[in-house]
Amino acid sequence: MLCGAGPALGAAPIGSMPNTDHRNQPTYLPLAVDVAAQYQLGHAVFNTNFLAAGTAGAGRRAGLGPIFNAPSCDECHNEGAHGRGPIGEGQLPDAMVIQLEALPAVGATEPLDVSDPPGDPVYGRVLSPAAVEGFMPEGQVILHYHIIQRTYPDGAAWTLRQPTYELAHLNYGPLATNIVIKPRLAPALFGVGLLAAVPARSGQVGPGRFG
Amino acid sequence: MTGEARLGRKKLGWLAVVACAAVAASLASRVALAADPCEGFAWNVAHERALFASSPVALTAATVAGPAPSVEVDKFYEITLTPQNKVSFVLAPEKKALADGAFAGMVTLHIPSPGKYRVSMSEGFWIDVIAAGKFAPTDDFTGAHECHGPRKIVQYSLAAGNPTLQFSNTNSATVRVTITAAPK
Repeated sequence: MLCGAGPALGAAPIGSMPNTDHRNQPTYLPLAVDVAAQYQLGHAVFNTNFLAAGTAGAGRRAGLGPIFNAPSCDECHNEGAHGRGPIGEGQLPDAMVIQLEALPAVGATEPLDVSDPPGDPVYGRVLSPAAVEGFMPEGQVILHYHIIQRTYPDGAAWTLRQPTYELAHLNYGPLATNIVIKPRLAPALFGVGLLAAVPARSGQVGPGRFG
Repeated sequence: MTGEARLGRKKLGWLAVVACAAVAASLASRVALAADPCEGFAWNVAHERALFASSPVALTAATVAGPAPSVEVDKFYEITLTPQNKVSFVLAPEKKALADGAFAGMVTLHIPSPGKYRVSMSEGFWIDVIAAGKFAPTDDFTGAHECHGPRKIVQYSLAAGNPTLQFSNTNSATVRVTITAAPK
């Protein structure tokens, strides 16, 4: 959506639109009026802070929750850029999520579906640390660093921060015992629409166009 | 397809042990860290939190360009807004978003000397600072999702004067706001 993939107008070369406003980035080509309107609407939806489903008067902004990670797309993918990572210990920033993936049971004979791995049976594939009023978030994620200090052979010191992720206040019970956690920072979205616009090969099945 | 999904089962099992051990080991002793929802800011916001703990001054924001109530540095305000569809902005909000059921308004900042200033607010709504007819660029921002005192802070480099602070896309008709000088 952000790169404006869709029917283009005119023959301007790709990437020729000036990028002068970082809050309103250009489409990769001039768009026809109706498509441009769709693009603008999509951008507005991307930026919108949504409200709890059923909120009186919220109109198109209603629909958030009951549990969630952030109230808008833009909160994590700010202006389409990647999210901000943590700068110290404490709660993870909104733009960093904890994905959950269930490992196959020991001795399982069914092959792992690598394109669609299952999540936790209760918490699903992503832990939601926020909830609308009247509901409990799934839990909180607290980042801790273990500082590793060593020296190079020449005597110069170096340090590394080794992160550990604490899943605290899990309000819906413990995770399943076969769950791995996968910390993920919100990626940049530039060019995603262009990739989506690449037509799939006829009869293609399985992973995507480049996979 | 994730990188993890391509890993062999043996490696995944090892990862699981590491992940679960890390979670379990830290659960017992560190839960207290999670209790304060206002711990998540990227900056030291002790001054802003202290202001949010004080009694606010009530103001009603302007709904049209022109004279607007004045907001001073280091004071805490509760500002009443108007349904956004009845507000004529100085400049249309720089970030376009759906405004169904949203509230908006404008106040005038009194900036005594040039420098970096923080605008702290009780919700994660959008603000614009407008000086000399243009949007003032933001220097940085931070926030804490479950904290409302404050929820979001945006930092600007401002010249001395009286720029307009414009609120838009708020969820409630009243918002709490304070302006502070950023630590040097």
